[in-house]
Amino acid sequence: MVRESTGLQERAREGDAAAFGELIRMWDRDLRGVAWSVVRTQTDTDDVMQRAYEKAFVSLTSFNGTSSLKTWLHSICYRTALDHVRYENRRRHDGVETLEVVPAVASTDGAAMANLELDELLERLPDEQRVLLMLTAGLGYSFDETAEITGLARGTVASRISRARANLDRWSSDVE
Amino acid sequence: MSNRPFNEYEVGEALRSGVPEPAQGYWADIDARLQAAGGRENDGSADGERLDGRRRIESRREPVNMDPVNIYMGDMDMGDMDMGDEVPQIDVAPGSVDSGQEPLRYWPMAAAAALALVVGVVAVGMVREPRSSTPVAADRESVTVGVADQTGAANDTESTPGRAPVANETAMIQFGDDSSRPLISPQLLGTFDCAGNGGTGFWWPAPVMIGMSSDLGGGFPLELVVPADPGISPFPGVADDGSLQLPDGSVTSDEVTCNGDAIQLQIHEWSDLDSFVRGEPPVVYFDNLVQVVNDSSLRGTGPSSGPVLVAAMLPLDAELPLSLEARAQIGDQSVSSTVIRTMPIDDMVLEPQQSQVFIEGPVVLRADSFANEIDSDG
Repeated sequence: MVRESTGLQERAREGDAAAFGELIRMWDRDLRGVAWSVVRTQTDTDDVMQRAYEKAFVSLTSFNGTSSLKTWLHSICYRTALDHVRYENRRRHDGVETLEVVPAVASTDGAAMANLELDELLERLPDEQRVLLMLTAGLGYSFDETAEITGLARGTVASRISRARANLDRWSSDVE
Repeated sequence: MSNRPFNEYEVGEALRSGVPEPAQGYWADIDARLQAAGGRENDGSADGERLDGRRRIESRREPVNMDPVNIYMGDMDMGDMDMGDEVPQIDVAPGSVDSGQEPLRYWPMAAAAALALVVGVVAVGMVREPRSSTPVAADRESVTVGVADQTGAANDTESTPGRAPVANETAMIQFGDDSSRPLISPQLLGTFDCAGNGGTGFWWPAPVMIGMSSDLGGGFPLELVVPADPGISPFPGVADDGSLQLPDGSVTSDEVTCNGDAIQLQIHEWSDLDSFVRGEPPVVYFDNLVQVVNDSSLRGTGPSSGPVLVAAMLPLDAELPLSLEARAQIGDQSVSSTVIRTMPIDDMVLEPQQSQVFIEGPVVLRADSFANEIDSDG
C-alpha cells in the first residue's frame, strides 16, 4: 500500500491528474474531516474540498517534500476552509458596524444539557478547537504535525486542545 | 448520556463519524477541475463516476484570488462560446484571397472570438495586476519579513504619549507552496486608554516587535509579544487571561471607569489600512482577545495591507477617538516610510525551544506595498 501510494505520489507530482485523483480518493475521508471541522455543512465541505484539491494539484510542483504529501494536503484543505469561512463571514457582516464574536459557552442549564451526546458537545466547541481535536484525536497527528498543518505555533496548538478538553469535561460534568 | 469525561478515542471516533459523505457528483466535479487544471486526459474515476471534461465548472465564490496558480482559462465563463473550435478559424484570414472563402462570411464568428480573446486577456490582466512583479523565492532560502516604525528603527520604543498612534507596518510573505501570494500580517496601530491622561484619553504606541512562525509552508499567525515581567517591558500586550498590560506595566482591571462607565478591553479591527483611513466602522471584539489577535491575519482580505488593529480600553459602545485627520496621517505615514526587504533565513534570530522567529531589524514594506513590487537586497 505504501509502495503503491509512493508511486502515485510520484506520478501525481509529474502532473498526472489520474494519479492525483487516486491519491485523494484514498485520503479524502481524512481530508474532508478537516474541512468539515471548520465549515460544518456538507455543501460547504464539498465546495472547499473541490477547490482545495484543484489548488493542490496545480501547486504540486512547489511541494518540496519536507513534510508528507498528506500533511501538505491537510494544510491546503485547512487553509481553504478558513478562506471559505472568512469570505462567508465577510460577506454576511459587510457593512455591519460592530459585532461580538466567540460565544465560548452559553449558560449550561443542567436539564438542557442532560441529553447532550458527545457529538453535540463537540458541536459547541469553537471551530479552531474542534479542528485541532480532529487533527490530533481524530486523525492521529502529533502536535508538531498539527502545528505544521495549521500554521499555528506548537504552544498555541497545545493550549487550544487543552481548552477544548477542559470545555468538554466541564460541560459533561455540568450534567451531573 | 454525556455526563462523564471522554477519552481520546471516544472524541476522535465521534469527530470522524460525524464527517458527512460527499454529495452526488462530487468526484465528477473534482475530476473535471483536475483535468481543466492539468490539461491532461483522465481515464475516469475510481468510484465509477464518469469523467465529463465538458462539464461546466461553477465560477468561484471567492473574491478575486491573487494566487497565480488559480488563474485558468478553464475557469473563465465564456458563455456558450467554444474557443477551441473557433480560434483556428481566424488563422487563415476569412475572406482573404487565399482562403477560398466568401468575403466576410465568417466575420461575426471571428469578431466574437477576437472579442472573447480581448476580454480574456483583460480579465487575466486585471487579476494579475495587484501581484508582485518580483516573486519571492519559493525554495525557502529567503523570506520577506520585518517590522518598523516610521523612523526606520525597528526596536525604537520611544513613545510620544498622548498622541495618536504611529503606523507600524508589518509584513509577511508566504513561502513554500503558496509563495506568490502575500500574506500580510495585521498592524497594531496602538493602544488607547480612555482613563489615561487625567481622564482625557491616552494613546500608547504599538509594539514594534512581532513574532512569527518560520518553519512552515503555509500562513503565519502573528503573535504579540506579551511582556513576561510587568513593569519592565515597554511593550503593551494582551495577557493570556485577556487583561491588557499597558506599556508602563500596569494591568487593566475592572474597577477602572471612564465618565462613570466601566471600561472594557476591546480590539477594534479594520480589514485593511484603506478601510481604516476611510473611517469605516471596525469589527469590535471583547472576548478571547489573544486568539483574536493571533488569528487576525487569517481574516485579512484587504488589498492594501493586512488587518488594522487598535487595542482600546473603553466603555461598551463608546467611540474610539480617531479623527479622520489622524487616520489620513497614519495612512500617509505607512505609505511613505516603509520598504520591503528580503532576509535570508539564516540571518534571522531563532528562539530556542520555539517555532518562532523574532525579527529585530529594519524593515519592510514598500510604499505601494505588497500589491506591487517587492525590493530585494538579500
